[in-house]
Amino acid sequence: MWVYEKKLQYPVKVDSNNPNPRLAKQLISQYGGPDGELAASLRYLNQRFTMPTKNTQALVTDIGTEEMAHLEIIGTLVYKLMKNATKEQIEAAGYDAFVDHGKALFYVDSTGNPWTATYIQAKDDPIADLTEDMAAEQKARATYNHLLDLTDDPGVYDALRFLREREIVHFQRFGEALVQVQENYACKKVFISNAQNAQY
Amino acid sequence: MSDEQAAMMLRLQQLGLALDDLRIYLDTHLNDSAAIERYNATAEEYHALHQEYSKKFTPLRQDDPSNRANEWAWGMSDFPWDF
Repeated sequence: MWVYEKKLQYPVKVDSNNPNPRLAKQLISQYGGPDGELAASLRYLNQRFTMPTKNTQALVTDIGTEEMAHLEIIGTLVYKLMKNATKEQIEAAGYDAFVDHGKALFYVDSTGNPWTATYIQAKDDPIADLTEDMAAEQKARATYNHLLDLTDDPGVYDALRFLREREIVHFQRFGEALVQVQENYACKKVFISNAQNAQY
Repeated sequence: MSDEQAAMMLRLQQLGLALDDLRIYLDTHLNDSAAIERYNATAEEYHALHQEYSKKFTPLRQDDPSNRANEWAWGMSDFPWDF
């Protein structure tokens, strides 16, 4: 069960009177792209069921939930940058998603490829899953770096810096969880069902 | 959104983020009593402000009581992308 609050996790100060379809097209990758917030959220929330300990289940629940809040922030950025865009601006920016979606948000990357579950993984193996999660956070951080290189809109820049920071914090937390899971194995306090088959 | 509402929303965002950050820290530091104390104090402040905001302006959550007797406030207030 989830509870929704009518507030963004971080304030977004983007002026919709200054539309920028080109930037919107770039940002949409963090909405529905390979290292975007949808992939992050669905990856972690789906891994919860086979995480081996209560606190790793809590961690993927809490980070997966926070990623939904990040998805909403990216959605807000794209929506505000597109809201008052004219046909001429949309055409000039090559925002061709307009053909299929108008100004609606959609789960695609910056070149229009639709979101796919092949972006994420779950292995019923906490070492593999937590390592995947750490890599995912680094890939998202790198994507935010690329987006920061491409924008000089101060409101967008500020929100992207916040989101990049959270990827670094999440990476740290997944790393701590990985160490704890490995320590549990070293103590032979094994919590996973297929441990007898595992070679670590 | 009035200046007063915007200021209270910003404070809610600050407290909410502190909770989000402390929560995942605690998920990997289960016995850090100083962090637990900070989490509890921040949660108390957040919940009090949440109640105040919902009564004064618009509901934050669906289960906040409607602050208008003859109107369903949840269905009549902006979502965050329109703030």
